[in-house]
Amino acid sequence: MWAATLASAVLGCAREDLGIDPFREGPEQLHVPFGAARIPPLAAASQPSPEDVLVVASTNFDQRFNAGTLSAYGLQALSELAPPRAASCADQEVRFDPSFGGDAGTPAHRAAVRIQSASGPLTPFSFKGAWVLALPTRFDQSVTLAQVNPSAPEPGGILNCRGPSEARLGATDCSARFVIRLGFDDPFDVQRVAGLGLVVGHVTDPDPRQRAFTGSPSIGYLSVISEARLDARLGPPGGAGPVSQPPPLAFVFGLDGARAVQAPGPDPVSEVFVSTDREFAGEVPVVRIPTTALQDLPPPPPGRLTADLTDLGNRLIEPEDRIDLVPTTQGFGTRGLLHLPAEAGLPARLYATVRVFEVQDSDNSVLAVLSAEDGRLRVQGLLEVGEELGQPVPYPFAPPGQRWLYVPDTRDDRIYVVDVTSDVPTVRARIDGRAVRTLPSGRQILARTLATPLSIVFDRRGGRRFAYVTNFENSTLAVIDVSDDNPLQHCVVARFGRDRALDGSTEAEGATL
Amino acid sequence: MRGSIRSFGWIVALAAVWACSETERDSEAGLARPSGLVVLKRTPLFTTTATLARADVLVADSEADGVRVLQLADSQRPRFLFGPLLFQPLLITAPGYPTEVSAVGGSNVPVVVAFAPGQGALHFLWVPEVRFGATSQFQDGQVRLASLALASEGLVDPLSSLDAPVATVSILGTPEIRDRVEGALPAAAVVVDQQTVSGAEPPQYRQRLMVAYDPLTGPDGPTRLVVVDVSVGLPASSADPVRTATAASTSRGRIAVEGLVDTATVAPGLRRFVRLFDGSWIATSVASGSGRSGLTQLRVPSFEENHSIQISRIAVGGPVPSVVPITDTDQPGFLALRSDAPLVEVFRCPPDQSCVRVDAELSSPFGSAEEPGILRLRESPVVAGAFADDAPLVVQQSGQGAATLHDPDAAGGVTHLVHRDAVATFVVGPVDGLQVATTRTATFAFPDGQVGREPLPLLEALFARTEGAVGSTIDGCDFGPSLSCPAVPRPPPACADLRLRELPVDALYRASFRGELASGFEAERLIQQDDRCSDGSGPCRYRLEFGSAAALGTDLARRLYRAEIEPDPGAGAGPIDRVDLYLTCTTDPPVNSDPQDLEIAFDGGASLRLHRVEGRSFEALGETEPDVRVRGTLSTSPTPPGSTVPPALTDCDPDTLELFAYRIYPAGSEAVLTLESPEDGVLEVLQRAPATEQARFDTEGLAFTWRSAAGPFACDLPSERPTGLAGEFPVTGSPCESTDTCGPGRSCIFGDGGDAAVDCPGACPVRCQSATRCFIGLQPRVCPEIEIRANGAGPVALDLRRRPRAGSTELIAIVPEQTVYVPARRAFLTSFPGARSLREVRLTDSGIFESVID
Repeated sequence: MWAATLASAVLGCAREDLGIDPFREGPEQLHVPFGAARIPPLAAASQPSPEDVLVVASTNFDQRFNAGTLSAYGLQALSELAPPRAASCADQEVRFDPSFGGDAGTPAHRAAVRIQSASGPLTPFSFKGAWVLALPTRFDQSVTLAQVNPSAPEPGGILNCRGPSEARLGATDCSARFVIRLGFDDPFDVQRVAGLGLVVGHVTDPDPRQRAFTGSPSIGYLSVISEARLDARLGPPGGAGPVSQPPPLAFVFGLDGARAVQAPGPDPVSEVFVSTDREFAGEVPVVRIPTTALQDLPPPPPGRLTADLTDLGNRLIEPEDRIDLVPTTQGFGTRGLLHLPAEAGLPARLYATVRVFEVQDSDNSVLAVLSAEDGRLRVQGLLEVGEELGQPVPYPFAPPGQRWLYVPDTRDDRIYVVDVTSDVPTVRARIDGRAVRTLPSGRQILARTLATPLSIVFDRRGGRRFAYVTNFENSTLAVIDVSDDNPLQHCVVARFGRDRALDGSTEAEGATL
Repeated sequence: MRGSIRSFGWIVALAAVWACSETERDSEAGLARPSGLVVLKRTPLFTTTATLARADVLVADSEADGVRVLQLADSQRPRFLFGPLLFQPLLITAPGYPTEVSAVGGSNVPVVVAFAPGQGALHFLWVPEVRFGATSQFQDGQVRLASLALASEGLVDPLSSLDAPVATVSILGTPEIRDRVEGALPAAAVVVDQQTVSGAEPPQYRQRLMVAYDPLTGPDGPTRLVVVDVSVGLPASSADPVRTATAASTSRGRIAVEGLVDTATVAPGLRRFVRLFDGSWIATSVASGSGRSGLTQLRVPSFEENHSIQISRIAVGGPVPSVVPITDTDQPGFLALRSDAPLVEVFRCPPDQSCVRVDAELSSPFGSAEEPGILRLRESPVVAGAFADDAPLVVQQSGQGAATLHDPDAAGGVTHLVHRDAVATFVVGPVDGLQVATTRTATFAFPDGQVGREPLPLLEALFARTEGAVGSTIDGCDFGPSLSCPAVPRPPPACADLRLRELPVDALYRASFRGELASGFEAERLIQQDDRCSDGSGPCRYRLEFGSAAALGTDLARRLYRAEIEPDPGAGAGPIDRVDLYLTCTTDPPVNSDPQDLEIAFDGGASLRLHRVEGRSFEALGETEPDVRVRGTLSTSPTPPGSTVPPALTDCDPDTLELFAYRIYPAGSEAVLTLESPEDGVLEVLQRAPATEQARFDTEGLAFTWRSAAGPFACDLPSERPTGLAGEFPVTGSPCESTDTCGPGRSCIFGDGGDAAVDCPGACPVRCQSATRCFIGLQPRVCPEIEIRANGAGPVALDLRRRPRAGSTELIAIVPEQTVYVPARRAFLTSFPGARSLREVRLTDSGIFESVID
C-alpha cells in the first residue's frame, strides 16, 4: 500500500514535456488527486447553493500526463448521484461511477483547467470579490493561482488561470501571470495569512540525513507572497504587472522542512504555526512564529539556494516557541496541522498528526492536541491511533458544543472520527474504505473505496450531508454519507472516477472475490 | 504480527537498568493497540515444587477490536492465552475500538465488560478461568456473550458476519433511559457490581453498570450519568460455545436490560471512571475550556445497597485526566495526575466521607509545589500509575549491595508512576507523608574513543542523568545491557567504547566549552602590599584580600602560560607539577638564581607555591594536555634550594593560604565535563571531547541551548581591560612591567625599592578618583558553559523507552495508557498503545526487574 508520503517523496526534479494531454481520458477524470475545496458563490457562502462546486486538484504525480488538472464538479449533481442511504452501513450500496454521472446523462463535471503537475494541497481565499485558489507546485517551485466563479455560465469562467490574450505556460492552461516562481524547492503547503499575504511552506530540507548526523541546525523555508504581489498577479491585465523576482524567503530555525502552515483565523493574526517534515532524529514538530518576523523580509538571494546555507544572514527566524514531541514519540514526521479557534466554549487548539517511528519504517501514528495559550505551546493530549494519519478536518455537523475531527489514515485507508471536545481525544467511529464492487463483467471484487485518502470536504444538500474524499492512490473521489448524527452510521456510498492505481493497474485487473 | 513475549530480567542499579537474560520466544502476541487493563485473580498454579500465585490480565486491544488474555504466574513467563488457531493468541472480539475493560473488584469473575467508544457499546465477555498455558479451545468461555448498544437502537455489529452471533440489546429500548440520553453519545462506562442469579441454569449474572453520556445541551451542559442493571446469561450449551453458536446460528449468550437504577448529572467532559474502593468512584473530566475540568467523587449503590448516587465535587488545581487509587487500608486515598505540570495532588479518603487533599507539606527532590498536598515530580507529567501495598522497593547500588527503599511492612506502600515520556518512578509511604523514592548515586555512561568525540552525546548522557536519573542515551550505543546482573555472564557490550562510572547525584556538574584558549585567569584573592613594607620599617607582611581579580595575577598568568604551553625547549615539556615563586617587596634582587624557573622573587621568604593539588589530578582520557586548575598557595616554608631567604618573616601569616586560582587549557576547542565542588573547584574531569565546527550542544531539557549555526563556539573575549569595578579594596592599578604599558601620561610605578630590573610587578597609576573604592579588575574570558546542580538525590527511575535487549537500538513509541498492579507477581503492568506493547516492572527482594510483552 502506498502512503501519502508519496506526495512528498517524489523529487522535484522533473519538468513538463510534451506528452499525453490529461484531458485525453476526459476532462472530468482525476489523476492522483490531492487537494479539494468547496467553493460557493461568494454571495451565498454560508448557505448551500445549487451553484456550489467542488474543486479538486489532480497532481499527476506519476507524470503519466504532461500536466495536472484542476476540476470543478457541481455539488448538487454529485449529491444527486449518491445512492439512497441504507438503514445500516452493512446494507449500503456503494455506487461506482467512472464517468461522474456522464454515462447517466447527469454529468457533475462542470469545468477543468490544466495546471502544473505536482500541485498538491489547495487553499481557497477570497481576494477582491473573487475566489482564488492557491496551489503550491513542487515540480516547478512555484505557486499556481486560479480564479473560481461557480456562477459563471461557461466552463472557462468557472475555472480560470489565464487572462485574455495571455500565452499558455507549457502544457497548462495557465499564463505566467498566474504562476509565481519561488526562491526555493518543494513548496508543499500554502496558507492565507490576512494582512500578510500567502505563506508557503517548503517541505524540503537540503540534507537532513547529514544534518542528523552532524548535529548542525535544521532550517525550514517559508516564502512570503505579499498582498501587493497578489494584487499585481490577480489585478486586471495591463496593470502594474507581476515582478519577476521571487518572493522573499524566511529561514526558520529548527525546522527540517515546513510541512504545514496554519494561521489562527481569517482576521489579521499575530502568529502562524508551522510543522516540520522531519522524519528521523526528530526534534521539533511545531513552531510558533510571529507574523512580524515574516514582514518586510529582504529580497531573496540571487540564484537558487544551496544546502550550505552560507547566505542566511539576517533572514534567519528564531521561532517564539516550539514544541517537541520527541520525548513522547521518539522519531516522527508530522503529516497534518490544524488550528481551530476558540468557539462555543471550546478553547483554541492545534491538532497535529504525527507519524511515529518506532523503528525505521513502522506504521504508527499520533494525533497530538496542542495549546498555544500564554504564548507557549503545550501538549494537552495524545491519541495514538492509525498507521499514518493525514490532515485532520473539523467536522461541521458535530453536536452542539462538541468538536469532532475527521482524520484520514492515509496508510490504512480509513477515516477516524475523533471527538476532541475534551483534551482526551476519543475515537467515535472508524470508516473503513472497502466495499464490494460488481464490475460490468459481473465479477465481484473488493474495491478500495478509500485509497490513501488525503483531502476531505463536507457539504450539506437536500436534507443529506456528505463528505467528499480525494483518493490519492486510485484517482477517485469517494462520497461518504454523514447524514446520521451517529458517526457509526457514516459510510462510503459512492465513488467517482475510473480507478487507476499508481502502478497503472485498475481494479478490474485485480482478483475476483 | 508484531512480535512476541520477551522476558528480560532487569535489575535496577542506581537507576540504570541492565539486561540480564533473554528468554526463549514464546508466542506471537501481535498486540495492535493495547489500552485498558484489568486484573482478574485466579487460583494458584500448583507445580511439583511450589504453589504459585496466578492472575490474568485482560488487555483491551483497541485497534484489533478485541480483548486479549495475558496469563501471569509468579516466577513464570507471561503468556497470552492461545486461541483455537495453533500458536495464535486469542482475541475475544469486542468491536468498536475497545479502550476500557472493567470487572468488579479484580475478583475471580466470569464476565467482564469492555467499553468500545467507536461502537458506542459495551461488550460482555465470558472469561472463566483457564488452566495456565492452555489454549482456549479446550475449555468453555473466552468469547463475547452479548453486547449492549448505548447510543443506538438499531446498532449493527460490523463484525457479526465474521464472528459468531451474539446477543445484542440497546439500552435505549428502555423508555425511561431513552428519555434521558437519546441522541447523546457515551463517554465512559464501567461495571460497578456483579451478582450471580441464584438457581439460574445456565448461569446468569446481573451486572450493574454506570454509563456517562456527553452533554446534549452545549459545551457547558452537564454530563448525564445513568446506572442501569442488565442480566447476562451464559449459553444454553456451554460445551463449546464457539462451535455450537456458529453451527446453530444462535446467539452465544443472553442479555436483557432490567431497568434504570438511578441517574445524575456531573461535570462535562467526563472520560474515565476509576474505582477507589467498594462503591466509591472518581470520575475525571478534562473538558476543554477553563473551569470545566475537575474530579467528581461518586458513591454508587451496590446490589445490597439502597441509596441514590451520591456526588461530591473535588477541586483540583488543573486538568486531571487520570487518578491512581491508593488502597492502603490505613489511609486510603488517591493521586490526581495533573497533565499540565509534573505534579500529583494527593488526596485521602476517610471512610464514608468525601476525599480531601492532604494538608501535609510533601517534600521532593524536584522542588516544592508551593501548596500542601501536592508533590512535584520530574519534568514530564505523570499519566499512569498503580499502587502496591505488599511489594518491596529494593535497588541495588553498584558495588554497594542492595538498598531497601521501602519495606512491605512499612507504612503506606509503593506507587509506581509512569510519566508521559515513559520514564517510570516510584513514590512510597502513606498519603500524608508521600516521598519520592531516591538514590544517592547514579551510574553514568561515558563514551570512550571515537564514540565519545562528539560532545552532544556526552552532554545528553549527563542531562538525562541529572534531570531524572534516568538512563542515558547515546546515539548508536545501547549501553544499558553492557553490564550484567550478578551471577549472570556479562553479554558482549553493545558499545565497547562505553565506560560506566558511578557518580554522586548530589553534586555540581559543569559542561564547558572552551574555545581556542590557551590560558585563563581566575583570581580569587587579592594580594596587597602592606604599608609597612613601603617604609622599610619592618619585615614585609602581606595581607590577603578577597577580590575578583588581581594585577599580580596577570603577570603570573603570563609567565605560567609561557612555561606551560610554550616551555623552553631545553626545559622539557609536560605538566607543571610544582612551581615555586618568591615574593619580595624590597629592593633586593631576586634570590633565585635560575631565571628559567618562573619565579618572581621577593625577599622576606614567603613562598608562593603553585602546584597541582594532590589527589585532584584530572583524567585526560587520552589527551596529553595538562589540566586544569592550578591553585596558588601562600606559605611560609620552605624556601627553595639555592635561595637566600632571610629567616625573619615573623609577621607573615604562618598558614598556607589559597592565593588564587589559575587555569591552563589545552589549545584546541573542546567540551569538558567536570565534577566540581563550590568549595574546592574542579574535582574531576569526567570527559573531554574535542569540539568540531559541527558540534552542537543541545540541552533544551534545561531550557538552555547552545547552537552553532555556521561555525564553532566562541568565547567572549574582552576587547579591553575594564576598569572601575566596584570593590572594597584599595586601588592597586593595572599591572605593568614598563611605562609603555600604562598609556599616555602615566608611568609604571614599582613598589618601594622596586624597579623594572627586578621581576617585581609594578602598577599603572589609577585614574579612579576614589583611592579606596575601586580597583582594576580583569575580566576573565567567558565561554559557554552549563552548570548543573544535580538534585540532592536521584529518583529511582526506569527508562522504558528502549527495549531492554542487548544490542538493540530499537526505539518504541512511548506514551503510556494505563498501569495496573498484579499482586500475584508483585508486578506493575503498563500498556503502551503506541508501542503496541506492555511493560512489566516486577518488585522483588533482590531488585527491580523489567520486561517487554508485545
